Amino acid sequence: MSTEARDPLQHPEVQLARGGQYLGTYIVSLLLTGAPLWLVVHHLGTPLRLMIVVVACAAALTLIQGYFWLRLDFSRTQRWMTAAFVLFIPLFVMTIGLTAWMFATLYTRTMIPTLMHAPAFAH
Amino acid sequence: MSQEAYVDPATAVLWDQSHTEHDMIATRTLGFWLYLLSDAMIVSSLFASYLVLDHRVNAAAGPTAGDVVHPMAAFWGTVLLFSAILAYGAAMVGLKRGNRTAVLVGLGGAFLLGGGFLLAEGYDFAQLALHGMVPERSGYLSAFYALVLYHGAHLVFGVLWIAVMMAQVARQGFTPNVVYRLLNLKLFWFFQGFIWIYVFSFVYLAGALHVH
Repeated sequence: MSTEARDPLQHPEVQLARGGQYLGTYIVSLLLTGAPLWLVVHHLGTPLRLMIVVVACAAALTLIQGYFWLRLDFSRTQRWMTAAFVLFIPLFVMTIGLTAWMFATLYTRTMIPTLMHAPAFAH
Repeated sequence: MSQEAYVDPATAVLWDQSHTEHDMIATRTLGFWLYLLSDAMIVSSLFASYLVLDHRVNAAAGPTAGDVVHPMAAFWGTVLLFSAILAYGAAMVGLKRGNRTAVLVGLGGAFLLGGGFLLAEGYDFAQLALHGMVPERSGYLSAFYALVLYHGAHLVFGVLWIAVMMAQVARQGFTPNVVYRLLNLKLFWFFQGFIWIYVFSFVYLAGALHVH
C-alpha cells in the first residue's frame, strides 16, 4: 500500500518538521549574515581578510541551512535528495570557477593597461 | 519453434496506473528537487556572468559595485526573507500535527514577510533606476539586475504559490495532493533562502568591499 493512501500527514517528509531546529537555524543564519556585515561596514580588516570571513560564513550557512532547513542528510527518506545535491555541487562550482578562470586574465591581455590600473570611475 | 506471447496493442497495459507500492509524495518531491537544482544551474551561470562583469572596465565609466550595493538595506531584506522561511517552517510543524489553522497562519506569515522582502527590494531597485543606474547603462549593471532580480522573480512566484496553497488548504484540507504541494513549496521556499546566502555574500558584501 502506498504511504499516502494511509495518511499523508504520516509521510516521513511531513514528519521531518522540527520547530526548534527551524528557530535555531534562523537565529544562527542571522548571526552568520550579521557578523560579516558588521565587519565589512566598519572596515574591520583588510579587504582580503574580510573576503575570507564572508566566504567562511557563507560556507557555514550552506551547511547549516542545508542540514537543518532543507534536511539534506543520509536518512532513508532524504538520501536521494542529498545525493542529487552532492552531485550538483561540482557542476555549480565548475560553472562559476571555470568561467572565472577563463576570464581571469582577459582584461590584462586585451585591454589598455593604463585603464586596468586606473581608479574606479566615479559617476 | 519459438512461441511468442501475443499481446493485443489495443488493450495492452504497459504500466501500472495506480500507486501500488509506490510512494507518490516522495517521487514528486524528489522530482521537484531535481528541477530546483537545474534551476540553480541558471543561477550559477548568472553568478559566473556577474563575476566576470564585476570589473571597472565593464562599468562603461558608470557606477561600479561599490556605488550600487547597499549592504545594510540588503541585510534587512535578509531578515525579512529568513523570517518568511521560519514562518513557513512553522506551517510545516502545523502540518505535522494536522493543525489546519497553524498551517494557514504560518503560510500567511510567509506570504506577508516574503511580500515585505519584495517591497524592500523593489524600493531599492527603484532608487537605483531613479539615479540612472538602469540595466542598459553598463554590462556590470545588466549582470547585477539579472542576478538579483532572477532571485526576486522566484520570490514573486513563491508568494503567489503560497496564496494558492492557502486557498487549497482552506478548501480541501490535507489531501495527498495538497500535502505533496506543500512539501514542494517548502523545498522551493527554503531554497530561495539558500540562494540568497550567496547573493548577499558575493554581491552585497563583496560589492561593499569592492575586491577584484
